[in-house]
Amino acid sequence: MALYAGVMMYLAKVRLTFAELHKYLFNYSELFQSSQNSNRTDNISESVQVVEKSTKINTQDVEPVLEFFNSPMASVCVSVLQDVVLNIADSVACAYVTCARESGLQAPVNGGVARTEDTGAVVRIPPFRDALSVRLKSTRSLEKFRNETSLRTWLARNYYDVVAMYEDWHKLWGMNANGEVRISARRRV
Amino acid sequence: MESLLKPDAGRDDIFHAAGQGLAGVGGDVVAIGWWDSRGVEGTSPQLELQALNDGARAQLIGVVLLALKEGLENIEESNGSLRELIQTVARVSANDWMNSMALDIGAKERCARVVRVAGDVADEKIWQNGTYDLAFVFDRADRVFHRRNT
Repeated sequence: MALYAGVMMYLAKVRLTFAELHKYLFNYSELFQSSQNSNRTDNISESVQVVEKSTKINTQDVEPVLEFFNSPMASVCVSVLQDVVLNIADSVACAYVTCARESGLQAPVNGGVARTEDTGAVVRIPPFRDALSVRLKSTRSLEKFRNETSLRTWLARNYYDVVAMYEDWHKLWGMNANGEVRISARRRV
Repeated sequence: MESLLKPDAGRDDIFHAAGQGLAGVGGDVVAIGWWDSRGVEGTSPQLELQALNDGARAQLIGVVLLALKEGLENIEESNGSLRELIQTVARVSANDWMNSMALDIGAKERCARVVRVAGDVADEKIWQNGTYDLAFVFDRADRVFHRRNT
């Protein structure tokens, strides 16, 4: 309960800060680069004044934003969101795999042709298992996959989660740009 | 300036970062087993999500991100209930994903079953079997966040 309440809280709290953040960080980095390259200014207070003048916003308001971005909170927020997304996606995948396994329902899992009831036209039905990995399209391999997943889930819930709790670690599901699943292990904040 | 005026600008960035993966997030890449072309032989799967092929998995994650974002923006429709919101997001995601993959053609009954089961599984997985440690950590993180902003 607290996990998802936390996610909600972060998403609500950082509503405006991230957009401002990019702008200010960009301005700061530009200022630092120009000051290093041309040696025109090496005084941080001058830089702050320039930022205030260019953005017309008092830097005192910006400080909490920068502090938040530099804190682990920002990455925690994204990590939690990724974990939530992957858990929901996994639930959908679980439901899909369950139904892709069952052949008792009307439509065939491996596709085929069927005659529509209203018009009588013959239509091609694509395989329902189209979204599965190529190697899992046979019922046997799919069952083997599900058995292995169930075993890992049971082990994680009854052993690794307990170990993580006592070792002060927790695991979040994450993903990279290629959509590959990974675990990001984090120490307690 | 336009992004500053949008009330959900920050949320967009977070969702974008989550979708693309954040460089600052550390963690080891889990070796994926024989069911995945990129994997290492001998390891076992950890999520049923890994049963999907690359395209379907990416599509599903994108759909879930979108549904979750819209769900959070309209949380009032769920009476502020996160539990109800998660179930709704799972059902909406399942429906949208199967439609986008054209899995619903000639399989309406099966798709309806997937949608129904997805909501129940999400509820069970996230709310009934949530990890105690994780909940504690984010409860703690929430308090730290509040302390910094007050």
